[in-house]
Amino acid sequence: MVPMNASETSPQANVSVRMQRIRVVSQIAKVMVGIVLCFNVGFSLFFARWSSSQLLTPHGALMLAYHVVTLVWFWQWFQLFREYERGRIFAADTIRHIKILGALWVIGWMVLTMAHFVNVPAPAPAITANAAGQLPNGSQAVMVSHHTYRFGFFNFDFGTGIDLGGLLAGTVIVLIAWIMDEGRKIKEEQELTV
Amino acid sequence: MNENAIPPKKSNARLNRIKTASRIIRLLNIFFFIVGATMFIEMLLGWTFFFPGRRIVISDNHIYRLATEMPSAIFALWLVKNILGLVCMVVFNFLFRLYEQGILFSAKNILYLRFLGYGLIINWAIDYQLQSSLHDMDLSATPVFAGLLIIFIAWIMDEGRKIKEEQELTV
Repeated sequence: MVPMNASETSPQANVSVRMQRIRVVSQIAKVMVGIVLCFNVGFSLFFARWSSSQLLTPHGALMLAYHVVTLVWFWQWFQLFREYERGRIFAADTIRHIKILGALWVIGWMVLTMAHFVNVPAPAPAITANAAGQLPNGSQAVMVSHHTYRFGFFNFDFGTGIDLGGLLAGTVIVLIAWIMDEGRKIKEEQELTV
Repeated sequence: MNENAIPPKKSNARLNRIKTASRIIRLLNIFFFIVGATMFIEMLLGWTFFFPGRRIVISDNHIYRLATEMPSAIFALWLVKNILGLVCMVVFNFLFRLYEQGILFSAKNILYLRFLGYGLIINWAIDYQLQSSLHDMDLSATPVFAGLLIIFIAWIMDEGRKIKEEQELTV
């Protein structure tokens, strides 16, 4: 009588356990993101005070655009977790959702940056000239330029006033998704190779 | 001969593309690491060789010329933040070195990804602590979401890798 290998089915059982774990965590994450998305949509529709005068300004229009990008971003999160819940870990659609998340991050950063510069008014001069272009007695016009370069490891600008850390985060996410996609295609092609 | 067989050239081209992109990113990372480390050392020691006009910016209303001007608690947090940043850049370099070697889904890749995700979140926590102790908050929650997304992707990749290994063991 040949003894049965007790561990023969263990790897398969482990696979099922892992897949189940992914499904459960993804389901919980999907529900949480769904709640946040519904809250955001509900808040925008019923509580946010959008007046047409606000929306007609460049800043107002950009903030509305940023709000829309945020909603689409949460929707993509929802769809990503739905794919994981279905057990589609490295499918093309799943990786596409990650790429879109990264791209939306970059778009949101661009919109927010534009809104920031539209909103920041030009500094008013402390001393103003009269109608003839003459300064008050005893005052002298002096030009002062001040440059600030911020350099931290996760947030940095180079005298632009723009935090480039957000752009970096979005780009890295898109890059990682692209590498995952290329890896998936390599694996598919290797399976087809004789 | 299987007419549907994909020649290995296409796979090699993909892998070469990944390797080239990873090399470029790694070189950029090394450049910024050198700049960042130089600036950090200058700020720490009060030197002004390469960045004469530099200031240490904790928040918009708390800017210091020298590290010694900072209160000790703020200085300690600033030191930890910068060392964390340097370490994360080193780990980023290791990750893309693996991609450059064509190693895409190993346990090490996932470890480095996870480290970077946690690094983003810890950095945000340090910023929060710094700015709240100075009562000067101007913080975005974006890095926390980025960190959580990266950690989640790393976990999924790890589970996928283990599933693949276990399927290979199945008789």
